[in-house]
Amino acid sequence: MDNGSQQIELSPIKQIELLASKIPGVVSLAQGIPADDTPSIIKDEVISALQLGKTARYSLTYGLPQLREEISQHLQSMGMEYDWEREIIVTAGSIEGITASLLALVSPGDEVIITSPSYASYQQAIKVARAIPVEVDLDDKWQFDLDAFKKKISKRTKAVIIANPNNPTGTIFAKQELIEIAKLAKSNNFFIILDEVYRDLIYEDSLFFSLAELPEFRDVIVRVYSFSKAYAMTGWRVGYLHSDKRNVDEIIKTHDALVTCAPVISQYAALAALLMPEEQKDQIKQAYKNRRDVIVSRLDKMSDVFSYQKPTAAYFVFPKINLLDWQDSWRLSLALLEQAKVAVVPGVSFGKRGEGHIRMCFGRSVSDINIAFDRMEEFFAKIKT
Amino acid sequence: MKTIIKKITTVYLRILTKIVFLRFHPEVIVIAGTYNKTPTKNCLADILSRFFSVQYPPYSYNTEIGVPLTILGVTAGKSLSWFKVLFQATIAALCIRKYPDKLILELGSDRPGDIDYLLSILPTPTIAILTNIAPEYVSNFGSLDNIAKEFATLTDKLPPTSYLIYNQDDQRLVELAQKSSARLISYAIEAKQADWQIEEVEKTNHGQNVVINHRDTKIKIHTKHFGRNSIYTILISLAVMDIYNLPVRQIDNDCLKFLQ
Repeated sequence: MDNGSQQIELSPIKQIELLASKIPGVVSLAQGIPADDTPSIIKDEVISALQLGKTARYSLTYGLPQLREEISQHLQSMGMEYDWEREIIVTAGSIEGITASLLALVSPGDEVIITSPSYASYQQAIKVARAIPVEVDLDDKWQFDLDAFKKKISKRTKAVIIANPNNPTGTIFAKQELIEIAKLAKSNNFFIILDEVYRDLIYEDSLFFSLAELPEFRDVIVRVYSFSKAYAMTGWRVGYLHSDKRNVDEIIKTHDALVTCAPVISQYAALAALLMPEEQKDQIKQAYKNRRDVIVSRLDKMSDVFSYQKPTAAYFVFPKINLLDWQDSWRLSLALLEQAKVAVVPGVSFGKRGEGHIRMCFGRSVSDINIAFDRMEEFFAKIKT
Repeated sequence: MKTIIKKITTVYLRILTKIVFLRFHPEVIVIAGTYNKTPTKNCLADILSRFFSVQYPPYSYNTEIGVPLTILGVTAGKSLSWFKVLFQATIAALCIRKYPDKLILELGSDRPGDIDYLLSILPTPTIAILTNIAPEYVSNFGSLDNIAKEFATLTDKLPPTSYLIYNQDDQRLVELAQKSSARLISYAIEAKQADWQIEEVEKTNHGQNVVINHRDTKIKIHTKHFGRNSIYTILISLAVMDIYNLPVRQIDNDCLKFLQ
């Protein structure tokens, strides 16, 4: 029997994590999981909500009104105007928001453009919607090549998914190119699913621009956010999306079919996260910035093996493999896992343009990063002799 | 342990609040309802601050702790340590020499009795605003009608000298208003013949343009915000401006901009 799921592979990131779990003593720089626990200020609020009996029942499908109101205020502070009642949906993490959006806005056989490299799970989400992923290569600085992008637009193009900041590269897209893509979306009638889950982990703020700030594009943009990354809440599975009411009227139906509502206990965690003191958010960001500096300094010492673009956001670095014999990123990742006991993600998982690279996550502790690099230095010293 | 500390803090802040109201007599504007309190507060605070000295909560301070902190003007952030908060609150209650003319407060209600407690620490509000009754915390109240009873503790206490601004689209609020002795001012998008009545709404990519009918006078307003609740915020703001006889034409902010 030909089940639809046979067309969908388990994400390579999860494949690597599964393999890593079977090898004792592995240090993982693979999956994008923060090393830290959820801040206690969030956990305390959740305990309080639990004790007050607020978490046992479904919320409205859109999510708790109080949370959506707070999200709307938060969006306003970033120059984005959305009606909390009908234009914001609290989702079970960002990938549920992306999948619900694709299921609602894209028909089977439609094409969805994704950047290469980009987050590995987009391919699977597109296939869940029975649509066809179309890769467009980014340039050497991980920016859009607009001519290449235009060539990928066809009559069947229904959406583009843009992760900004991008995963796996940790880079930010330039404002003018994003605006050009939004104009193309308007003129060619396709949606932009704007995945900004790393919006709070930007180390050079002046570089960042969100297309959702421009009201003229609100009808073609679905912006997705997750609380997982900046608040160390990957296990809570909570995020949100927002778009013009016309789009949200459709997405709410698939969101309802998928999850009924985001977990209510997690919605209270999200509310507490939004109300968290700014200085605490800054501390979290600073901690990641410090880890970025550690991983970058370790990469600098391995310049014969890796060359890389310094990440300005998120918690990933995506170095190019300089060794000609090790350009197969799966082969290198498996060798590192089995021989050096270091888990990294093969670059090809993020698209063909990612081949010859590996992704390392610096969301892990400084100690883990240093151990992983000590082991990798030893590994590469051996293979070179 | 945390509960005991919270109780002590609550009682202490209540005492400090009483001291403030013994020393000063600001006009109090309260906003109650299930939601839309904070955007309404923000808009009112922005407008009234142009004409009066106004104190209001910087965040959604609407609990037995948050409301006293607003009254005491402890607004240094979301994360002050409790010792620092209580020290600043004490200094504020005992030492400040001047107090704003108007105080805008949000009244939150998580469970039965919350509104009654908050009213017990306040002087009689000059203006009470009721936004809506919705199923946010039904689990703690049992039903929407019980939430209405909670808000009745506010509407029943208002004397004829106070104003009650209420949402006429919400039938439970209409019933509460009818039983109140306060001077009634209604607003509505759908219900007809409200004092502040929406006649037309036009949505654009840049916000909403609305035509409002007030005593047969048409007012055209633009707002940058989207959705019904932002329209309700406009209507409430206009009603408050009318009470204080403030010029609508001078206002130009994200919440409302007079068009003609």
